[in-house]
Amino acid sequence: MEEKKAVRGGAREKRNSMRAARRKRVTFRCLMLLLPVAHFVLFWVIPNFRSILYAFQYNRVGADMFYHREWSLIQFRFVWEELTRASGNQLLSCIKFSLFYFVLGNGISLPATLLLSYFLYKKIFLYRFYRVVFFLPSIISTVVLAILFRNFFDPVTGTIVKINEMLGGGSVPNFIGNPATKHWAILAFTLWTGFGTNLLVFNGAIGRIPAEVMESTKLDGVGMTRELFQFIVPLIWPTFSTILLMSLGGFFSFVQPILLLEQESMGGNRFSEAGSIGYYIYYYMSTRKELLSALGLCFTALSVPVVFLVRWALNKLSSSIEY
Amino acid sequence: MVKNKIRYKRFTFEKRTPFQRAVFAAVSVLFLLYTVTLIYPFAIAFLNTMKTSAEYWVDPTGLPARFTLRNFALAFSEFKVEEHSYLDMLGNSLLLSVLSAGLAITSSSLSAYILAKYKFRGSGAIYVAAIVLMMLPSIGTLPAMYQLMLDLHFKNNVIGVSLTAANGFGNYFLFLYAAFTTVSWSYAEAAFVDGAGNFWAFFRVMLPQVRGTLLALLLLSFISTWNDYLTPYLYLDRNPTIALGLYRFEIVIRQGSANYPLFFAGVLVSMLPVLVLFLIFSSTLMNNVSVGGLKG
Repeated sequence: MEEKKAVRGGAREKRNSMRAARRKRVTFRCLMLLLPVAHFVLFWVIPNFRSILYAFQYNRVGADMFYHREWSLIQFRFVWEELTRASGNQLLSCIKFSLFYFVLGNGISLPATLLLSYFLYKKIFLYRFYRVVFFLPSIISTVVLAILFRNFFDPVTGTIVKINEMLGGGSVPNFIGNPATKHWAILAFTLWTGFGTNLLVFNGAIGRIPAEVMESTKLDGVGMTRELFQFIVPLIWPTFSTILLMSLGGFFSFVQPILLLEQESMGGNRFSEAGSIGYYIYYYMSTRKELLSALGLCFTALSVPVVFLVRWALNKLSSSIEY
Repeated sequence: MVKNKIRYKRFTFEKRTPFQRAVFAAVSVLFLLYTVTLIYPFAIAFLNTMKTSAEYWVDPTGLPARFTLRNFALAFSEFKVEEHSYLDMLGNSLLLSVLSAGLAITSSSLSAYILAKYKFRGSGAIYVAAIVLMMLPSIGTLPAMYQLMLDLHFKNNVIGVSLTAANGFGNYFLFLYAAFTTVSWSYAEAAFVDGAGNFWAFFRVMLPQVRGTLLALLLLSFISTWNDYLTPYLYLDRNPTIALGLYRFEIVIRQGSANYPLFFAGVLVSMLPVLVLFLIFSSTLMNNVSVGGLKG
C-alpha cells in the first residue's frame, strides 16, 4: 500500500515538475518574443491598419466650412484619375522611372556584384585591398557620396570641367540638373554606390563553397566561365534568390538617390521629372495621405502575386543545395 | 546551410592559362578604375579642406597653396544648421545609432533564437509570416506611420525614433536565424543538465556562439543608422543628426554664401567614426555576414 502511494507520489511529482518545466519554457518563449511582437504590432500592424482606413476616407468641406470625414471609395477613383490623366501625369511618369531604376539598377548591379565577388574569390591582384575599398560606399553616408558626386559633375567647379578641358571639349552639360539626363545621373549614382552590402553577402556565399568542390573543378580542367555559371552560381543560388527577392521591395521604395540629387525639388518647390513611386509618396506625404493610402493598397494587391510568382520561379530554376 | 566563418581557401596550385591571365589583367584595370572613382572624390574633398573659400573658387580641383587643417577645427565651431552646432548633431547621431543598433540586434536575436531553436505550435507559421512580410513591399503606409509618430510624441525625440528600429522580423532576423540554425543544440542541453535555466542558456551559452555575426550586424546597423538621413528627415527635423545636417547645410550653401572648404571639412569629419569602426572591425564584418535561401 505504502509502496503504491510512493509510486503515485513519485509520478505526481514527476508530472508536476514536467508541468513546471513546460510553464517555464512557455514563459521564456513569451518573454523572448515580447519585444519583437510588440514592435511588430506597434510599427507594422497599426500603421497598415490605419493606412487601410485612410484609403476609405474622404474629408469633405461642409456648409460650416469645417472638414467632415466620410467613408467612401472615392480615393480609388482619384487613383484611377491620376493614372489616366492626359497631360502632366506625374504618377505614370513615376511608375515608368521606377521600372527604369529597378530593371537597369538590378539588371546591372546584381550580375556585376557577382562578377566582382568571383574575381575577389579568385584572388585577383590586390584582392584584399579591393574587398575593403569596394565596401566603402556601404559605410560612407549616401549624403556624403551624393555631395561628392554632385561636386564631381558640377558644370562650373567640378572635376568634369577639367577632364572636358583636357579632352578639348566645349561647355560642360549639366548631367545632374538637365531633365533629359538626370535619370541617367540617378542611375549612375545608384550603381556607383550600390555594390557594398551585396558584395559582402556574395563573398560570404562563395567563400563557404567547400574547397574540395572547387579543387575538383580545377582537376577536371573546368574553365572560368563554366566554373562560375555551372558550379558557383548553382551553389550560391539560395543566397542569390534571397537577394533578388529582397530587392523587389526596392521597386516601390527607391527614393534616396532622387532626394539627394534632386534636393531643390523637395519642400513643395518643384516635382522632379525623374521621380519614382517612392519619391511620389514622399513628395505628397503631408498633403494627400488618403490618396497615397489607396494607391498603396492598389500597388500591394498588384505586387503580392508578382512576389510569389518570382519566388516560385526562382525556386523552380534551381533546387536549394545545402553545403 | 550557413556557416558563421568564411575562410578563403588556399589552393595548392593556381596556374592560369594565357587567356585567363589576359582576363585577369583586363578585370584588374576595371577594378583599378572603379577604385579611382571611389577614392578620387575624397582626395579632392580633402585637398579642398585646406583652401580658403576664395582659393577654392579660383581653382576647385587644384592643389592648396599651403597644407593646413584649420578648417577641420573650424568645422566644430562654425558648421551650424539653424541653431544646431556640429557637436550637437554628432551627439544626436551617436545616441540614435547606439540605441537603434542595440535595439535592432537585441530584438532580432530574441526572435531568431526562439524560432530557430524552439519548435512549438505556431513557430513555423511565425517564421513564414516574417519571411512573407519581409518580401512584400510596404507601400503607402508612410503617412500613417508619420501620424503614429506624432500621436506617440516620438517626433523630434531621439529615443522614440530609435524604438522604431527594434524590428525583430527584418533583415537582421534573417542573418541571425541562419547563424543560430548552425549552432548545435547540444550546447544548451549540456547547460540544462548543469542546472541552467532557459535565459542562462540563451545569454551565456548560445548567444556567445554567434558573437561574430552579432558584432558584424551591430556594426552594420550602427553604420546604416549613422548614415541614414531619411528617418531623421521625417522625424528629427528639429533635432537633426549629422547626416541630415550635411544634407541641409548643402542646400544652404548651394543657394548662396558658400564656404565649401569648411563644408568639406565637416563632411570628412562626419565620416570618421564609421571609418574608424570599420578599420578596427573590418575582418569581423567581412567574415561574418552570410545568408542562405528563404524556406517556408
